[in-house]
Amino acid sequence: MKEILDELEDLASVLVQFDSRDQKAPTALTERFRAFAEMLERLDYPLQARAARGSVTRLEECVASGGADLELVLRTLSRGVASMQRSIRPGGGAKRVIPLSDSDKPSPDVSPAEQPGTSAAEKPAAEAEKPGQEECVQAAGSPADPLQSDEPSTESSGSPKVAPEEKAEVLAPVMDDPELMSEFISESLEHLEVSDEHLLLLEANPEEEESLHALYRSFHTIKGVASFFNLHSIRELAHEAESLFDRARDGEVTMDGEVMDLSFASVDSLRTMVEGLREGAPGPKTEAVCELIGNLKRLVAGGASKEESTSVSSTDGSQSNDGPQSSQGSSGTSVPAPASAPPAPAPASAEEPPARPEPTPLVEAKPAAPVKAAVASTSKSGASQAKSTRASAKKSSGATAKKPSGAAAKKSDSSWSGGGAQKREPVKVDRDRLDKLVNTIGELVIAESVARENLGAAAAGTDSLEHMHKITRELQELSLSLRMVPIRNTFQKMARIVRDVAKKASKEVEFVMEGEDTELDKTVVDKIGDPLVHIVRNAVDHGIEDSPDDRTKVGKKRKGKVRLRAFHQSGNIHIEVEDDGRGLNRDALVKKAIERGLISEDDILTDSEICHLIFHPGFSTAKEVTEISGRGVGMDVVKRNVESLRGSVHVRSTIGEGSTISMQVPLTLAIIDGMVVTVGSERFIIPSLSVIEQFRVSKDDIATVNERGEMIMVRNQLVPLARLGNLFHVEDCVTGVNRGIVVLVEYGGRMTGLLVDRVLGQQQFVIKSLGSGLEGLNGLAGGAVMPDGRVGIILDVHGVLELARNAKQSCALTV
Amino acid sequence: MAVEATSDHKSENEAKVSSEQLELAGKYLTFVLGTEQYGLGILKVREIIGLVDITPVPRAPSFVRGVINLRGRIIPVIELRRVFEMEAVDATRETCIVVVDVPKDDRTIEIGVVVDSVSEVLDISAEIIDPAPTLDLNIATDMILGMARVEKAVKILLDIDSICSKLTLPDS
Repeated sequence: MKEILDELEDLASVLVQFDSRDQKAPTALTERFRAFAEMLERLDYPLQARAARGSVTRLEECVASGGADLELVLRTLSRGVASMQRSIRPGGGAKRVIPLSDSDKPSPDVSPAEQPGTSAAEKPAAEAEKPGQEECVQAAGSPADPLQSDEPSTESSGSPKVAPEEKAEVLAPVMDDPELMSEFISESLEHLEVSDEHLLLLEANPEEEESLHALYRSFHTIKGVASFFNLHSIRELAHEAESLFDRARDGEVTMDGEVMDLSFASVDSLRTMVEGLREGAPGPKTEAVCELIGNLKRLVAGGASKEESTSVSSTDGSQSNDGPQSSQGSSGTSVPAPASAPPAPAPASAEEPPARPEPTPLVEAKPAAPVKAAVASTSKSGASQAKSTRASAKKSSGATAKKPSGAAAKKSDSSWSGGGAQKREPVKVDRDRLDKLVNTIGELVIAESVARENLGAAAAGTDSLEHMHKITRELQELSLSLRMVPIRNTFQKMARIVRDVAKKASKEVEFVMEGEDTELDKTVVDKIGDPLVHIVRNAVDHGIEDSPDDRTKVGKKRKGKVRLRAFHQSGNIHIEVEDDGRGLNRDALVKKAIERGLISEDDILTDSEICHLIFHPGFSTAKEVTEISGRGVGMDVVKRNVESLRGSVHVRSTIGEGSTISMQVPLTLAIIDGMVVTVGSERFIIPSLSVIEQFRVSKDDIATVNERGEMIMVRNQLVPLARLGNLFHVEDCVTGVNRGIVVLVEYGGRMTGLLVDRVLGQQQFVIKSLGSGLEGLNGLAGGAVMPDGRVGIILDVHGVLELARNAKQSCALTV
Repeated sequence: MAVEATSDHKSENEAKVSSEQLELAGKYLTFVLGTEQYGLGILKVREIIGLVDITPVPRAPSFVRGVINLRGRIIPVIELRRVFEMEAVDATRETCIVVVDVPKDDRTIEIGVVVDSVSEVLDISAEIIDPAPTLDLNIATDMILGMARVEKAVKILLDIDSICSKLTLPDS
């Protein structure tokens, strides 16, 4: 064993130092692996030997094809070496098998129909049609079962490289390395997202070759890594889909109709399965997945040509260079890879020897192909050789980063978006560290302004303070930008949703994106996803007319249009969803609201207030609760989510022409633009987002209602007045309206005036929670450290308005 | 927890030390409120700062005096006098804020406590600790861990966790 470990270490260092410019290097490496494989066989480590053989094959074919994906192969090999090290080291299960019986050596009688030399790894042709079905039947059982069912259908063929006992092994999913697993999960999800994009592209343009290639590569990668982890179902599904795409790019299958649908379904299923990995080891395949695989196989076989049979027999043969070639030429049918079979390098199909997990595709293809030119993040200690080999392998591949775009930035913990759209090399940074950095910079900003205030007079005119101020400001902006990512990915997901919803509702809808490069804080991006989904769904489901004919009848184009726009404005990011559908029916809204008891018949509402009725919980005018929406849950959730981000949402609509729902969210959650006001000896901060204007009033402008409420006339509109001093029980506040200032704020389409003593100014604040225990207080959004070091209370406009409404402003009518 | 052991203790030999007493033994930060002296387990005390500007928080419970800025973090400050329903007094030069760590849900948060003045850190051994009295006192006994007899004085050992847990009921 020591010999092996030594050799593994050597191999690892060779891989690390690999010089791809050296012409002879790949061949030399191949030879080393070959020798290594022999050693392993000699020392009776058949599994590892198979892996090594597979590596040899991979290398050979890489050389043969001109070394295009050499980097990829090297990375794969590094991973394989690492995993082998782990498995061989004392303490790691050397053979990683689940014996079917209790004894170490799997007992031969488990596989009655076994033939000498038949290893499930052989993947002989006969398994072609059966295994899929077979396994599904046994799906309820353990991984061991499918193997059993396979055995009888196995035909002997080809020369085994493995002892007959091997056959009965079934490898359990490798779940013991959570870091590796979570990397797999996030990378796979990225691949799947990219795949979604490409599928959408293909739907519009079935000839889009680049997309086909990208799809193939993505699935190929997922398959590879899945097999490395012994994730059988994922591997199988990925494999079938990959074959399908392969046929498509050979021109034997066109990407439309059922093919398209199945492709989307595959992406969805894989996504679900990969996400399920977060919970723990995967369960057996579900029926849906089996069906999907069956369908995929059918489609793939449908376009199969005669070459199949020949390549089939050749695959039975030795495990040499045939490998992936055979999988290319033939289709999924000849290399069925029953998910349960030991993913050890089926020599025949030789798809994914365990030594070949592929961490990231080196895709120079289009859109958001993430390239992690990742310097192994220092926070991941680990300190295993795997990290170093991986890191250096990645480093060597970093040079090929073509368009590492925001997608990588989005998925990795953080990204350093270095200016221009060209070479962006994201770096993985521990999120906690990033947060700490941002916080500390925030503190610096405060300390600097306190210092400036204190030293102000004395140091006025000196450059040093000014200089420091400038630098601090810059630091602050930089730190804010650290977490900024483009909104593109979120928008892309919307594209998919529009398509799905439109299809379900039998409508034709065109989806247009604008401003997808607009950047915002990652935390905001994460939280804005769900609200956007609701809004977009609503737009398609309710906004757009029920059928293309309905549209032509009123003179519109058949295809409805949903437009998603994002842009920066005054320190916020604005996101608008515009549809050219029916628009909001005011009368229906009012009627429904009266029905629900939200308003009474006599209430007079402005047009904007009527439109905002849709944000009320439980409010929906959809005639039936459709599967998509109509339950009336969507819009109020949207409003709540957006408001929790300290944003706001509005709606504008013209009947017959369409509606626009716009969300405004501050660029970053940490900083707020606020107006400082005094009420008595207290200071409050009103978020500028909500402030419309401020003005003085005289007592003539006030009207009283029922001797309780006060109202002000603002541009021919009566607006309620709330006295902050009363609401917050501040004793020494100004009481005469003409001695104070009214700040007009807006919330949910309604305006209210807040009476304060003075307005001190406007500035940016770092918002901080008010200290646990005080967070639930109504009307208070948080605290901020003022320039003089004291705490200022930030008001939550919604809460304040609610307080005002509930409070009885009885005797505060001194004028 | 110390409460129910009262009757048992009375009948036991003074020299024998109960497990509750042992638990309560340790170092305490002693401080003064009015005429009484109190103790806070030293492990809970994060720091002591002089009285700084406290920003009142509107509509907060009455014993919450407000919030302060502690090196960039905003923490709430409670007025122990109000908790014990004592009269409020003006601040003096000795008035301090003791910042303590208390558990909340599954986290630890910081809360400031205003005290009249801070005395010293005492090592209180198990034998001199008596359980909280059941009778009298305007202090709810669930806020007291026990009483310690130090020389001629009695220090009231506070259960700061239970006091601060009342803080988490927001007034809305």
